[in-house]
Amino acid sequence: MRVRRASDNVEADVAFDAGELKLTSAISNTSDAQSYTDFADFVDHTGTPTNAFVRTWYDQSGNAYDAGQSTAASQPKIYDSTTGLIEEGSAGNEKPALELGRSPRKQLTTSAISWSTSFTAVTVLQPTDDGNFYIKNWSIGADATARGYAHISMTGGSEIDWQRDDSAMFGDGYASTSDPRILTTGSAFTSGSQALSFLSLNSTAATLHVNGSEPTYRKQTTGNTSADSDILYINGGTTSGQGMNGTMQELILYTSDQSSSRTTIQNNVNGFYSIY
Amino acid sequence: MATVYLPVEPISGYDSAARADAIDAEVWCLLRPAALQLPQDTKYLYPRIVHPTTGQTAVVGDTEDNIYIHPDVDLTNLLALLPEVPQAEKDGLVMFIDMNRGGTVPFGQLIPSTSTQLTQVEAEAEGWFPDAPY
Repeated sequence: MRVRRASDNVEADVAFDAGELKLTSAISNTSDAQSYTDFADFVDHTGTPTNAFVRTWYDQSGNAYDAGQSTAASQPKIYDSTTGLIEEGSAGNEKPALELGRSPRKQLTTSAISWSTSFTAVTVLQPTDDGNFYIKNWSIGADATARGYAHISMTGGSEIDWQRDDSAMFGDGYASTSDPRILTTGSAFTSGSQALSFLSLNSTAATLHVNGSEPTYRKQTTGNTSADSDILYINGGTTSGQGMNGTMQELILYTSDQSSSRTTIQNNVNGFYSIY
Repeated sequence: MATVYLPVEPISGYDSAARADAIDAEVWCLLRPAALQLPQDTKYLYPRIVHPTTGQTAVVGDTEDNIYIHPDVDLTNLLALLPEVPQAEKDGLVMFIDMNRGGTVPFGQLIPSTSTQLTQVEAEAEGWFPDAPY
């Protein structure tokens, strides 16, 4: 992860320490050419701590789809000057998390990702209910043409075919006629609760599992997704606003059908985060 | 927090989007001069949005943000991007920045008098946000 500290806007790469970002993580490629003992030293954790924000969330898949944000005000926070490293998880299972936001929206984007007929997405997130409609966790492509597309929202009311407190949407485009897609009937996510979601969309599966369980659907259509190549937007899309308040810890995107490996993948991710 | 939408007009050599990007990049250089930035570093301070029908770009700032002024700041490029601003106002801006090198200034005090400033309500009324639930 490349991080910008707010005190003087110096940036640095923060390495994994035993497989995760920690205050003991090593620091390199600093924009002030200084040496730091570790991430704690970089943010002056034991002195006068400074907020730190994510410039780049490096892709760990080997495909170099690094998610970046070159605009300071839109960068997710990773370290808080008062509370320290931002984390989510039950006691003893805390793991680092990106603090997102809707206004001002925090967002990361990648270079264009290509896919053909299938999507699988695994996400670890903790949404916070702010009463807003159209809370996009991530999407691919400009909003008017978005293909792979995920959406969550959590409190009452209804509008169009997405309903607050009634929606987890994942579809081949945003419009109600854009199939294949799913819309859940129950609230698939709980405000303030960490969740592991597994989404599949292909010719034989259109499903969502949250923390290993499948909700009921108001709409569930299978089919090949439309082949395309476009930018991944983490938190919102191209329309201003529409992001999520809350945190995000993981996004694994397969441009293939992984529904037959769902249990294995879920267990692997949950084995790290211990969510359920 | 006082969000302000600053629609950017095109000038010679720059369309609205390119000028908005250039101005925003120069504002970021107030905090972190270009000479101190690595290629992979942050380049802008504020997000820019595009009007869904006119295609015009606006910088979305916050008038109450306290902007750090780096001691090594150079205003040459920023001033060149503001040809419509009266020279007396540019001179005042230079003096203001020079007085605050190493300190902070509210972003609201950096906005030129020639710039259109829209509140959230005004921006909504002028159609900067689509009604459709994309």
